[in-house]
Amino acid sequence: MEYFHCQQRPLTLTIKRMKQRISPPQAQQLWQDYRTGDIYALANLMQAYYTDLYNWGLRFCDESEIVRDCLQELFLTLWQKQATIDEVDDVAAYLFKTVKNHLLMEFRKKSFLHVLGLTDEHYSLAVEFSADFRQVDEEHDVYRLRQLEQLLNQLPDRQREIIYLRFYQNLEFDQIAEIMQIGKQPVYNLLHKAIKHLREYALITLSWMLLGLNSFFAAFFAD
Amino acid sequence: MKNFEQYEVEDFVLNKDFQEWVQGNSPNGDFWLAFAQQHPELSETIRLAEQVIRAMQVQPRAVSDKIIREDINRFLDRALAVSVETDQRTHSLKNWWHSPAYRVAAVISLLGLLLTTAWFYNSPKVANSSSLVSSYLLPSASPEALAETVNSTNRPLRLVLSDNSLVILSPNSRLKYAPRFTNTERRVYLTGEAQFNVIKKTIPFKVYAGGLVTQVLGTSFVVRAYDSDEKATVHVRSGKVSVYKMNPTNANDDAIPSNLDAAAIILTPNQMAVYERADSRLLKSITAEPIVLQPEAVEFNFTETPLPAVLGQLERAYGIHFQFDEEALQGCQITASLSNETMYEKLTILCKLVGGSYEVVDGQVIIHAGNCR
Repeated sequence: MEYFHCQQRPLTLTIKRMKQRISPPQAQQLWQDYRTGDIYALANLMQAYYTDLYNWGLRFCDESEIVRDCLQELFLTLWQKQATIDEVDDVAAYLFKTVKNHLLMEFRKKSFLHVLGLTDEHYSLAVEFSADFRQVDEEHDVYRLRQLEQLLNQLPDRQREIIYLRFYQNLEFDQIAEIMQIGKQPVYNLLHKAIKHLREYALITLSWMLLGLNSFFAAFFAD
Repeated sequence: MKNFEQYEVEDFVLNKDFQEWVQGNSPNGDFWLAFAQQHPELSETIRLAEQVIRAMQVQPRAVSDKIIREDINRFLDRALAVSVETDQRTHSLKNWWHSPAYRVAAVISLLGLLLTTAWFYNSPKVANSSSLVSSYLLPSASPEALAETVNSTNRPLRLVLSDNSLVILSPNSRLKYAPRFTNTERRVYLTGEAQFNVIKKTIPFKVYAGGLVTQVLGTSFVVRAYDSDEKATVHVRSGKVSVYKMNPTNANDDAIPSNLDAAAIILTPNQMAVYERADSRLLKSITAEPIVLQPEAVEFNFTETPLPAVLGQLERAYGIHFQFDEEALQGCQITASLSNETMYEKLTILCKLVGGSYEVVDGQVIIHAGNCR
């Protein structure tokens, strides 16, 4: 699925991120201040979510400049709409949703998608999961993680999108539901299904690894 | 407590707290470690759940603080430039229909004008309301032909002055200003509340309000001086401002008066000036909700950190001076995660931990605590 003008390059390395995020009430307060005309409140929101939104934008288009321009346009539009914009339930979810729509819209304009009559449902998402191997030195564990990684990367786009938002962006189910514009229950069900699938496959391989089970437990309690 | 004994792999994976523990961000990580040790029968389930979460990582693409700063400044420049443009276009009404954004702006300012006129005709009493301040709010030697903007809507009103400084005028507030500032002064008169984002220039920018003069070169701050309030306040968001009392007898106060009573106070971010009108006292304090000034440079997670180092971090984060006995507090070790609390909540927690207290005096925080040995 390659409709976009820019390449979607998957990522390979794993670096653990520890980032300060602002709390939802703090974000809500800044949103209120922005609505009353405080441009610095909007700039603060931009700063607080910049890294997350940038990384999110790259899922749709792996081109730094395009994503940065998209974020510029997005926040300028928000500022122009300052006098009329509504309250939002969740600032983070609103911003994620808007970035996604904005990028998809941009690409749709430039592609033949509208000619083909394709809709929102048809977009590809470049997420490549790559396991966190720190603190993992047992051979079985490395093997298992590689296998899970592979299974994850074979999941359908929508399931990978949910996993990305939940486990990378640390969002709640209702936030994910808003971003993907589906209900909260379908989000939960899709995720549950994906994990169950992973578990079943992982356990099948475990049965022929029984010989190594003792060292497996030993490694766990040695942690 | 939930029934974790019944949990399947999926349930652990979907548990936010468990997820945070695996990712190393959980405040109560010990719980899961203890739980795993108490339930050896669940060890494979927990192990698999942990591995699933570990496998779900994605490599982040770093974006440097420098780039973020650049992009935010680019946004601010463009956004403020757009407001100036909007302003000029609506005045000249030339080609404004080309852009829908300008159309909206034009309608709003026109509406504002109508409301302003109506307000003036309907409530002359408010305009001349008898109050202590109004008598010297506008000096007799006032500059010729000031423009006046009255916000009688119930929403804040954005206003760009001729030097491109931005004013956000709160409801029921009035601002008088020169349509075009001279080369020697930038002076505005405020009744009510407004936030100022002043463009940096060598010419000082002065706000006359509620018996106070606030003088800056370029910064962001909020002045609140409603006639009905007993206090007038000035809050600083960024930069440095000086505040001094107006001289009631001679409002033409280009020089800061030399007598002690009228001495200027200097405010830095997160500080505020409070002017008690009844006894005309001018005090320095700290705003009700201090903001973190450099969020990217601050970590509020402490592990066995000596209290003075913790306080030092807070000082840097909020740009406020803390007074405390460094030697006495050196023995106090703090382990806490204080990212989501306000500054006052952080201080309350820290003081509770070491059995102390704090007070705000003259724009500083003074910490009283015993020692921890």
